[in-house]
Amino acid sequence: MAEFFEMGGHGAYIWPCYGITALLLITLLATSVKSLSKSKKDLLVMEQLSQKESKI
Amino acid sequence: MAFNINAFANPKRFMWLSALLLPWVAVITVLATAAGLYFALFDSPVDYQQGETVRIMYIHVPAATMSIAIYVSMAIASAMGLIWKHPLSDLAAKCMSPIGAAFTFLALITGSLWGKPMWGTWWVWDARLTSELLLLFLYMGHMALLNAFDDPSRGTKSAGILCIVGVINVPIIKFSVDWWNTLHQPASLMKSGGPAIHPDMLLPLGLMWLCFMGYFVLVLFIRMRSEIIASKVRALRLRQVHG
Repeated sequence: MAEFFEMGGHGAYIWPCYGITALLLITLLATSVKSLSKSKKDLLVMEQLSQKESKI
Repeated sequence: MAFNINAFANPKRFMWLSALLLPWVAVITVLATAAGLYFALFDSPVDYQQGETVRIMYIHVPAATMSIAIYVSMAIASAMGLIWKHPLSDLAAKCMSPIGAAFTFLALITGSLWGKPMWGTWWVWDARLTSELLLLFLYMGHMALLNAFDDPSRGTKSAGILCIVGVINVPIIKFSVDWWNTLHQPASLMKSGGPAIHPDMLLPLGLMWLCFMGYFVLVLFIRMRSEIIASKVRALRLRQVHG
């Protein structure tokens, strides 16, 4: 197991590559999903508002 | 039946189509990531010259390919936006920019982490590395210009023009390793006579590329859907204020 993480002495270069890639791509995905759910929520609020107005 | 690209320029149709495709793209991306990481880290041979550091290639090469492919797509979308004023093309270009910038950054940082053990340096100002860094600046300039004007349509236009002019950089990146002396190795995949690497290495490379490609489509769809819904909200707000 330790041998696997050492990667023939180059673990210090290989693991950061995979780590930074995972971190950046997951962060970008998460912020995109978050902004989508915020837009959806805003739309719901606005639709309810305009429905109420049309009733008045 | 003739293929009509205009049919997809309709936001309503895009919302329908992207909702239909999203779950499939997500599944393909997750499967390609799992299989790609397995082969890249566990079940692929070490390189006879570079040893274990060859595993950096499975991130570095697909990320670099994506950085260029996304840029070209962005330029095509910008051109379509400028010529035919398709609102969806402008939106696509806007949403591609941060994803392309992320892959460009990853290509640079993984290249640096590969360069240190193999070349003995983190960075050299040679043609390949410098032109890829310029690509990152082009992406950043594109994002900055989009938000630089009070009138968003002016920002879209300036950013689109920057993006199209910047396409000059794409062949420079691609052929830099042939035109100039550089530390960077020449192409071993996209060359005449077929790829010059072993199938055991080609498999994880292809899977990681599929993973990045799927990720790009997935995040692009999510961002475009979010922007379309947000513009609907803005329209509703305006109607309420003036209504």
